[in-house]
Amino acid sequence: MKKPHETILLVEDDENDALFIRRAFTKAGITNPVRWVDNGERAVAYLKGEGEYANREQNPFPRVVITDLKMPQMGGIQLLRWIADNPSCRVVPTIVFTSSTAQSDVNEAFQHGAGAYIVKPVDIRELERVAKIIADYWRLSLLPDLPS
Amino acid sequence: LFEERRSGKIQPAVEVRFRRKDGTAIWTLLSARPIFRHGQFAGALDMFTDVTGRRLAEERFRVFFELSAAGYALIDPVSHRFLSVNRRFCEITGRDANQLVGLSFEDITHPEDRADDDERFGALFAGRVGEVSTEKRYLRPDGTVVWVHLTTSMVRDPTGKPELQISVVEDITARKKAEQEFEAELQRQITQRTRELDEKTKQLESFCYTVAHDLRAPLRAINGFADYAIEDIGSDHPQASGFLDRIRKSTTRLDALITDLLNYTRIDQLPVTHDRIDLRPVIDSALRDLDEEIRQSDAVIQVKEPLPAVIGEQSILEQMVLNLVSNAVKFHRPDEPPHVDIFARDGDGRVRLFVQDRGIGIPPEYHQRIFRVFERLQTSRGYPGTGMGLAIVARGAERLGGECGVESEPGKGSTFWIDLKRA
Repeated sequence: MKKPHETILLVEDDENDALFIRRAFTKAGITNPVRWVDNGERAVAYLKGEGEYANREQNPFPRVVITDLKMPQMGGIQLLRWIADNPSCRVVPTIVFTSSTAQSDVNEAFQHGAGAYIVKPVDIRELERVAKIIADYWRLSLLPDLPS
Repeated sequence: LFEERRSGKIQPAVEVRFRRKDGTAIWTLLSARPIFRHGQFAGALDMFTDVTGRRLAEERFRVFFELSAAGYALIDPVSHRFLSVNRRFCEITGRDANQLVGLSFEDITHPEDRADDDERFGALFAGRVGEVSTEKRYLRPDGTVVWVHLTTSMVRDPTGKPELQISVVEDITARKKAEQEFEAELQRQITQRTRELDEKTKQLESFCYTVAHDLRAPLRAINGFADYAIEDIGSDHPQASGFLDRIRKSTTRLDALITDLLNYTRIDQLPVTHDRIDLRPVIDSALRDLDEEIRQSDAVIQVKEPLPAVIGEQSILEQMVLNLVSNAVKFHRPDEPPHVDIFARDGDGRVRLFVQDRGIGIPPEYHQRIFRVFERLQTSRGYPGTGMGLAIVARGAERLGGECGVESEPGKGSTFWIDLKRA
């Protein structure tokens, strides 16, 4: 997110949460465009640039994927697995952002290549604080080239 | 008989039967002695002894021995060979009497029971036990196993030397088989119930997480929109934004409750491994987690060595210590910062870990109640909390096979302790 035009792909089934996360990023000073999809299948379609996401100009390949775990149909773990299995997508950093504190979920997420696992706070101000930490972290981190 | 006697032969005593006038039989023992005069047979001196009673007793014994419903065997205590067996004993062991006489009891005993036999019959022979009463197995010639209940007593001569071993044997194969089937059935049921219980536990666990997850999303929505509304109307409507702030704070409290309920169920569901646990890292981890509370309240925490290792489960212990220290920091007197001493004593194979504060203390009548779920002594205004902390400590202690408790007086601080097995 060094480059302000780079896209963040947010995979989140809860509309309110998507709204809060986007607002929290804005408050944290992240000006990058956030593209929101509400389940794993759509995320895969977006990453592949298929169907409604075929236009790469409008739907650029994301700099980072932030995903919830429990979603209808394709959940976060399957999405992580799919990304890990696709050489062109494997370079995209992933952040799991979920309400689940179950150790089994944490273990599974990292086994399938999650780059980070952050628990969504219930308190919105806490959420904003976490969003800022995530933003700062990715500002510091060097990132691989994106697939062209 | 009389011809023989006439020829001068001395005969052994024989038993002769006579008939009485009334027709009943009488058995006599006849011992005869020929009388000679001048080398000529002159007659005989015959002595008849009435032995009808003895004959009758013998006959009765024979019938009893032969027709008894229990198996009987008379055994030579030295060679262990069968001297005499009855019909039932033959049926039980699957051999006829001719085969058995000449065999030793080891020969027909199940190989796995021979060592036990050596032990018990050795004890009987030596007089260490008066009789042997046991369950054992015989092996029939056709390879089938027969379970028997066996009682053996020893006949001894006046000097105490073993003369005869008398065994009474009952076939208990049917009972044994029923017992084994019952045990197998019981085992099968236990296995099945355990599997069902494991399944239920897993379901409960996943249910808890789902509930927690699903409850949090709307909670976050309430919290978030209340916050946005505060931002929007802000200082124009101080009372309304005050209400909205209360809504927001209630959601964080409800979230804390959900978290603590999850922690409580987790304590219940974590497998207890009984590892050797060093207390120092457990305490350090709790202090790290409480870093913010400790700094904000200017708390002084003193951890005193030595801290002996205990038997327990790391994450359960961490939860317990975390809750005790958190309470000790929280319930300080309003006029002075928290001061917490953490130390341990050991003895009798147990370790008692103390978390001692100089805070507001607890009246004795509440010393039991505070360990129950959702019990709170203080209003949330003065001291925030869910009422789950000490319930987690108590449940954890229970799961680790330990105890916990408190010594406290109002105004004099509280000393909470956890008692655990020493490693």
